[in-house]
Amino acid sequence: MIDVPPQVVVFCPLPPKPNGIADYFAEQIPYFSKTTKVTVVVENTHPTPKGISANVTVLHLEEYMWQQHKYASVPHIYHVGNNPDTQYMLPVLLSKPGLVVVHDLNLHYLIDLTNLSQGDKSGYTLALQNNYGESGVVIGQQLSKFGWKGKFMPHELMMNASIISAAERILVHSKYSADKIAALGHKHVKIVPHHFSPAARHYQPKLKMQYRGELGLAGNKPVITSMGFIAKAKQIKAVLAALSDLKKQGLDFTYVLAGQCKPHEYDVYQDIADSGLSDNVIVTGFLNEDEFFKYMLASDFIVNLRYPTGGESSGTLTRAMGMGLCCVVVNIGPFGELPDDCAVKLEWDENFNYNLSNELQKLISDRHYRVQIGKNAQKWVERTHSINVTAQAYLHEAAKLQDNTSFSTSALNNRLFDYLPEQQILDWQSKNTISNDACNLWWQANLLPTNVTAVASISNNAVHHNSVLTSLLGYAHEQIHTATLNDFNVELSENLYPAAVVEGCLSDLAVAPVKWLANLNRVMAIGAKLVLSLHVPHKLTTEYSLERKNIKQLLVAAGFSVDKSVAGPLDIDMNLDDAPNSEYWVFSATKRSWMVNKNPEVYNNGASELMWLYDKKERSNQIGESNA
Amino acid sequence: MHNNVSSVSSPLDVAATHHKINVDILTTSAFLRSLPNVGEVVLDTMPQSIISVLAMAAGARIAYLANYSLCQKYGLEYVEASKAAGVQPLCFSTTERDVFITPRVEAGFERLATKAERIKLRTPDNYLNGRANISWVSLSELTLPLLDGMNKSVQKHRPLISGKVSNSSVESIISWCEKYGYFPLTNLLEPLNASSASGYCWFVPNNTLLKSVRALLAADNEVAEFSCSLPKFAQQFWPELTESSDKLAKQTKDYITHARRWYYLDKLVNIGMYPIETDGTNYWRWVGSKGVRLFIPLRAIGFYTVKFNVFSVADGMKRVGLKCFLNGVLKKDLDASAGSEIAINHFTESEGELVELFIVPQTSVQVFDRALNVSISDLAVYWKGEVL
Repeated sequence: MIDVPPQVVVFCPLPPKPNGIADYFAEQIPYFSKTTKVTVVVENTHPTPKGISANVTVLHLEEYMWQQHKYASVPHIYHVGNNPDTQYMLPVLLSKPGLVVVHDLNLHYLIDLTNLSQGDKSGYTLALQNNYGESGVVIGQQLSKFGWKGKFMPHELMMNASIISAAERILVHSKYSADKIAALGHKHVKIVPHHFSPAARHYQPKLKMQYRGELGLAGNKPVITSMGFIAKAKQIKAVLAALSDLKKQGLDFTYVLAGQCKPHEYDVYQDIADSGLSDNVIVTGFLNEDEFFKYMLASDFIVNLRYPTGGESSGTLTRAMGMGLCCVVVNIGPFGELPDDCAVKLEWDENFNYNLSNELQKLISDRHYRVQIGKNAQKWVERTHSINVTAQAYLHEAAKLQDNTSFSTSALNNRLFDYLPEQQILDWQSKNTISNDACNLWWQANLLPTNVTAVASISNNAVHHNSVLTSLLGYAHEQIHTATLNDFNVELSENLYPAAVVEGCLSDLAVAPVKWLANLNRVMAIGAKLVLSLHVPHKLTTEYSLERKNIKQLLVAAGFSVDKSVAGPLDIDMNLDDAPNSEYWVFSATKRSWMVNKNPEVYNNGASELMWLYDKKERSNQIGESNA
Repeated sequence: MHNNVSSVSSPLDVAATHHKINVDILTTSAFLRSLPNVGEVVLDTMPQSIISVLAMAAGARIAYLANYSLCQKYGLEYVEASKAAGVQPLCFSTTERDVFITPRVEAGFERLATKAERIKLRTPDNYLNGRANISWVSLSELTLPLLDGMNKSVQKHRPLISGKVSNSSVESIISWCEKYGYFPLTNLLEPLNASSASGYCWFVPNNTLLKSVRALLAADNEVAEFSCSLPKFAQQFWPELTESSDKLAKQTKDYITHARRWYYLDKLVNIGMYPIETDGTNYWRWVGSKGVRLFIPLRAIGFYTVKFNVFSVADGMKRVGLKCFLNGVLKKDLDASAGSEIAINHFTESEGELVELFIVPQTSVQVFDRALNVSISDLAVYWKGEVL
């Protein structure tokens, strides 16, 4: 008996939103409802859902936020795709860990919608920094300063790290996606195949000619179809070129582009004209579900190419294969996982165009060949893509969720940090005897907030540090986790801290600066505050240029942004000629990324080397990661 | 509206039978009129509140304190909206601190690069002591710790103090008033005592002020039979408050006579509206693509109707689907066109309530650098029509 939760909250668009994920989840709802009460949260602008059972509660995001405390201990499922319809759920997803269903692995466009699409280039740069550390800053600045953005960058540069890191569990449709996510350090990734749509059973392959008649397609020549959005990555241009050659060889056919154009991205009509196939190609525009299935079954085979891939699984492909149609795919990403005898899989290499042309010719000419592949595909989908099984797998994963975060704010994108008023620091200073043997600059400059749940106190002078933390800043002893400079990465490794105050010496960084700072990164939560005080010795032996401005660059290379820096002492005696012998540099920084550049420009040692530090091990306390 | 009061009542009781908000309006107006040389008033409320409008009409210099609960709830968006409406980023608190509201860093949140904002939390004494001629301090809630933080300034300024007092703290607050020579009164000008229910109260610094207010409100009069409309009743019992030839009286009379209030769109603390526009006759504000959240103080218990007009829809649109949520409840889901009037009923259950009206358009169109859908005008709250 599989455990299923009595109730789930699902963030997902619903029909009539023209969105594949909406249709996908709507098909699952009846199977969920057999055992589990379902509450669906949709965006505030969502049209009134259609075809949803009365026993399903549908809440707008606004309604959910006012009632969130009621759902705090209910498992949350988030369906994330690389499109605007799932943007509304991001603040909740990033604040309340749940089961994240990653329909598209890339998610660059989804993140872009939260900043660049709104004209916020600085926000886009910070989003890139969150995902790619120092390198992300460079890419973002290239865009904001020079307008540089490669045409395929959104495809090539995944932007999913924050979403993956926020998830308690992840569900994907392919091993390709699971492997990529596991590489980011997530330990709870489950592969559940894209289910075969139950709606498909209303349509009969044997009615192919009837459907052709209804759709106005010729009955006496092969019909080849590409389904879905007509985008550049679908390699329609390559298909048109191959078909153009076949036409010149005397083959006749109809090629249907069954989907909506994206004219801002790809001018398909120009390529149709250039290929001389105006009489052979039909562009349908957006199709409703009925038309969609009829076009599919009216076809002899399907061409479903994607290069590059964002790691997305194709619901269209599952439907086509489940209905016994032979499909042509590029052998990359999730498509590479199809059994070899269930689809025509083309390698993306220098022979791609030649092989595509050959396979299209064979499929047009050899009915037995295409029918056999289609039958194999149908049997495979029936065996592995049953909606009964996949819906149970979802609920089984949801039952394992443990989060019960209750929101104390609706501003999920903000954090509140309390600091002492300046006068209180001056009062405290005047009433206490301050030792000048240790660094006092960090608290005099008021750099550490007073309201984080725990502070990692790293220094070789714990007494002084802890005295300031308790007496001035008001922290209780149990909130302060102390470690020495030599072994903090071991002593503090069980927790992720929302703040760290470090007092060290420049010589601590001398051997391997980024490595040392990366160790600080490892024990800190995303968004955590770092206060780093470094004593500047008179003499320092190091192969690196550890000037003050370079320390800032090293902090950025180690995944931080520098908010403020001060140097001192503040209390230089102007009556004495002696130079101060206790100079300190203090940096206030925010942890922005798990990505570290091991070989930054400051090293003057060639190209960057990126390293992802995140490791979602079962930490005993993940302290204060958000203000939710 | 006509009403018959069978037993003997005070004129304020009669006003309350129409709607309790009338008591708020009349007492506030009476106190403002009675204050000698109205100087600075410190209001822990929004610029769009009735208290604020009356204080402006009385010629007071107003210092608005930020609503810290809303700063916490809506973060930087609220702080920015509040500052744009002239509210300083400062709140009264028993413990002093500087709160920095900062954007989180995870990709997927909007406005990652927004500048952090600082809210100063200060004791009342810290803020008030350095100022001159404080006439009135109006706080959303009066607690003993907060009053204790006002000890120095009450001795220096002797301001009128008002705010909601909860039943559980009445006794300690009465002791505080005795210690500092204040007369603690309910909104109906009855002495605050241990059995008083939670409600809005006035702490009056001297007997002269109290006498003046009682006289203006005809508090010592008795009404045995009441059969005329409230405006006529006002002429009879509160002539100075409603018939004097000054702004305060005109504003007071307008509220009492029409039982509704308009909102000045330009001073409205809101999240999501573009700045005000006008053609010389009409005023309107366009709603952003994510909708607008309006904060509407409905201080007195009772029924209200919040109304607004759709002034226009964006070019290329004839109708726009609008959803209206009030305090997180979907109240209206309709297709609106230019000229549509939208009315939403609400019952305020407790004193000092602030409702949130969230208006969301289903679609928007991009017009140059703005995403537009509908513009709204004539935002008003009505309280006529229900007799308690």
